[in-house]
Amino acid sequence: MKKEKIREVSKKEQRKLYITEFFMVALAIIWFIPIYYLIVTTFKSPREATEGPLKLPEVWMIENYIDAWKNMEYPRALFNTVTITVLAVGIIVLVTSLAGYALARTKTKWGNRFFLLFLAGLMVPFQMNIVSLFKIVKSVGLMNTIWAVILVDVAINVPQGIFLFKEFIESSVPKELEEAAEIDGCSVIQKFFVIVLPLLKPVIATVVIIVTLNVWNEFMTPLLFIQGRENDVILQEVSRNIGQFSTDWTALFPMLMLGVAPLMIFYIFMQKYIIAGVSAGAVKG
Amino acid sequence: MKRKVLSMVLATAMAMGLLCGCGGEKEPTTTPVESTEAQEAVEETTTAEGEKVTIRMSYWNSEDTMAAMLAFLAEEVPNVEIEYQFIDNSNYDTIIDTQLSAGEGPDIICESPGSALKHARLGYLAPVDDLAAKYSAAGTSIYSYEGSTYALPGISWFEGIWFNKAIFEENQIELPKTFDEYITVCKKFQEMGITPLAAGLKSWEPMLKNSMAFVSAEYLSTEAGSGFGEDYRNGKVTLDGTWNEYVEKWSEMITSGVYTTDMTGVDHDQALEQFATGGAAMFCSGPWDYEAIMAKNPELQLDMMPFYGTQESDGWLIGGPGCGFAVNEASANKEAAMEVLAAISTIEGQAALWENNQGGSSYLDGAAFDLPEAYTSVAGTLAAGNVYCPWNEWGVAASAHETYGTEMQSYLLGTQDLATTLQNVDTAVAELLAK
Amino acid sequence: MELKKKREAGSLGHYFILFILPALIIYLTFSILPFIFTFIYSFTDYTDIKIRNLDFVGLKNYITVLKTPLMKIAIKNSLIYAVVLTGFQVILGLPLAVVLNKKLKSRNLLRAIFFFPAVFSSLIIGYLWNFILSSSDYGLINNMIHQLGFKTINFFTADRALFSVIFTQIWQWTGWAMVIFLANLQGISPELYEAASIDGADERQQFFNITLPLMCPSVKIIVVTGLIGGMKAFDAIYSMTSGGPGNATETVMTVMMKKGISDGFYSVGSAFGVCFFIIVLIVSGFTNKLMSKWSDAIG
Repeated sequence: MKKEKIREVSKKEQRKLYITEFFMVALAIIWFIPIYYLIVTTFKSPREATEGPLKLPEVWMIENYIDAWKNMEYPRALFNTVTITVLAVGIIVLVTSLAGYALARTKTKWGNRFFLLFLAGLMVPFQMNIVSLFKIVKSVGLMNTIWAVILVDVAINVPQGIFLFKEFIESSVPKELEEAAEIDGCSVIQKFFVIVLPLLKPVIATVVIIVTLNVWNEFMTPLLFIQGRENDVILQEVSRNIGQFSTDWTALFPMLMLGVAPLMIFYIFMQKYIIAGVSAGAVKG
Repeated sequence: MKRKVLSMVLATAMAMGLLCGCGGEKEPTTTPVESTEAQEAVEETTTAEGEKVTIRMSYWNSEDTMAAMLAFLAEEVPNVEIEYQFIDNSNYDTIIDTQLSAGEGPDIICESPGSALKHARLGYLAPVDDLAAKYSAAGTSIYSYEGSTYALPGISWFEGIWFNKAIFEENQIELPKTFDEYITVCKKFQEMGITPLAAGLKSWEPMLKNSMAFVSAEYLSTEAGSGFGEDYRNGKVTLDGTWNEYVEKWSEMITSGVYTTDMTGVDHDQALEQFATGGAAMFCSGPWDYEAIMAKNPELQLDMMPFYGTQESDGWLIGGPGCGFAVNEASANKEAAMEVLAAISTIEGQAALWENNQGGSSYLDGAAFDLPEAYTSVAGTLAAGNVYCPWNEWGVAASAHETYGTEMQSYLLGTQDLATTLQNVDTAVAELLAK
Repeated sequence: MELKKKREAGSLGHYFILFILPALIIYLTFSILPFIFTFIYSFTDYTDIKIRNLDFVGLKNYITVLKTPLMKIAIKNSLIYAVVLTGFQVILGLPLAVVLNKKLKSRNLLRAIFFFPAVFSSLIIGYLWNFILSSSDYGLINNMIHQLGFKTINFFTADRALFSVIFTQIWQWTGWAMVIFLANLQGISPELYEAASIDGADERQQFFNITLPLMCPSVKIIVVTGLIGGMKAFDAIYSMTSGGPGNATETVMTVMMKKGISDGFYSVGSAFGVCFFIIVLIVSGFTNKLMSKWSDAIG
């Protein structure tokens, strides 16, 4: 008797689930239209794009991409963007894991003060300091080098990195393990690199993902500190080409597409990990 | 020294994760901080004779607008390689200012009159008096500060009203000769279901130029108004109280529906496309858009007419000396930059510059170019010298013309009345003058 | 060796400084130091034509900030931007997360699609939407409206422009919020729901009685980061409207760039920056209080 009732409920539930699924798929399709529009327009002539904005192109125009690729000096811009992102993310992971660990294990007044000092960075929009920042970058001789962008991007992301590492270490790295290592005669530095660091893999993944998105999509720092075209990044190339008067508007779309393509590919292959990483970072906080 | 090397080795070893086993404690390592000065010194000494010097030149127009000149320079000054740096108009001043204030920046800077004045005052620019002597005073005066000239005027720019000849002829519409006739023409087009004027009002520029052209024709070019620029720059007059009646009259552009509020959702490129493909009879712009328009529609019968006041006249165009070529005082390659400027200051140099800015005129003595066909209907205006840019006379407050443009957008959208609009511009100008 | 003995097991002693030093040096040089300079400049007469021998002018710049209508508009717009964007992120993100936590066949794909826009730069998203929302026939939405025979909808009027930009950002960031809510949801024990359904609570009751209260931590994250991020927003506005039409979409950051940098009012810009910083502090402090009240109320 009871069993039957449960089955009945689950059948009803099942139907409800189907309806929900139908609506969610419909919503997702609407959600995806702008990106679909971006992709199809890249292959169209202006006329075709205005006549049927959402239709599939009749003739696939690859020329648009070839032009955009050339105008943006794409391989170079991509190389610069990748270099900046890799170096910045590497430095951020290294310095914030060290600092996050130190702050997690130092429950003194000063430890707390330093932590608050770092956290304050989350509130300060770096843009408010552009003038003085520019002077500093110049005086340390980094102007027009990718290092200016890298170090400022690192500084922008240090607070978040430290926060994530500290919270993770406090909640998930048992002190007992470290105590055991100390008894074995490990130095503090060895202890960190040999014992603690391997345990941080999940949060490292999180920091890498969040910071990669931040650095890759950062527009203001390259805009300010990279003057020459030889060092510029993809976003600068996009804005540069769009800012120029009277470009053919369907020629802009391949540029936008090339602007997002690396992250799009990265996301399509890694989406499971990216979503997991982002959410892990948030919930631990 | 030894300690430093040791600590570096240690740091490297640490980073490579070689410290696997547990053992005794190591000395704390300090991160080696290397000075980049040595590197810089090396870079600076590479300017040896015979070698190619690379100099940077910045401009807010795309590389296409300089293509012929860059090709000319590559041939004429073979020992100098020019790296062209396009910076978007909306960021241009910001980036150049910050770079200059840090003793950096491009070697050759294209300057607007307002920023040239500011940079000259701060000592960022090298005087170019010898070369400036080859140009007419009409071009160099706006780039002069305390007896020296700091930039060489490029080919003049001007903005008028491009029109589609075919649309006018097919509908048997005569070209207007006054502002009122212009409004009538627009109304006729509207009755026929044709958009009279394509305008990208998402940008603040179209209404700025259009309304100022009317004020130029109606007031600034008259005896009463000829001293306005100077008085305004000296804080003796304000727009509010002087310009009201003229801008009020010009507002017929809005009340008659030529400029509509919908247009604030259209940007420049989209308006250009609309005009080029026959979607509108007219479009306000200048020579810099000629190639883009023709590329979109090679069949288009293009001509340009001037702006008019209420009285019949040769008409007026908004414009003035084009971007001024200036040399960065802090440049490490000043001589090379001067060489480039000298090459530009020849008839051939001006011809190359003109190539991508056809229609404009050169301020270099002896350089004159034929007017292309697309400017037939403004030939009289240009011959009369009726090309004027009101804000070029505003001195250090010249940059407030952008405020004027954005305030006009608010006026169009009905969020404020005309007096407030002009007052807001006056406030911005006063702030800049008081700096 | 003596130092080592003083150390408690598991703590770092004097290694503390060594560990935080690399992060600290970069952070001090490129975040704190410029901030201090900005603070100092805000009391001087620093402009682009007075860059040396600065004079101390007291609170003059702060008075200028308070008296300039544009700066008040900017702060108002930034607050609207931050509050509306964050509000919608929560209102849309929460139900989305709840639904996508159900056993739907396509839920992984659906999650991936909703999160997709968050991967991209706001700059490029802005350029893209600029075309989608254009009043001309080249705009996707108006193109379709015209084909259906209706009149143009201008998304960039004085009243609508700000909300049009916010709308695109809601589209971009709701997926981000959803993912964070999902992570929180997955941490809620299913037993709670089982117990509730035995007690006869329907789905709606379950949502309000169990889910919502337990979602406090993730909502807090979205609200705090959303508000701060929203107030700092620049890229999307820059690429869509650059502050226009008129001053309709001027925000703190666009005004900072225009007045504080382009026009060369460095000291006033600095004072504006400091004011902005104080507002961000107040807003986040206030939200924090509010959110902890909520968690106390549940707790």
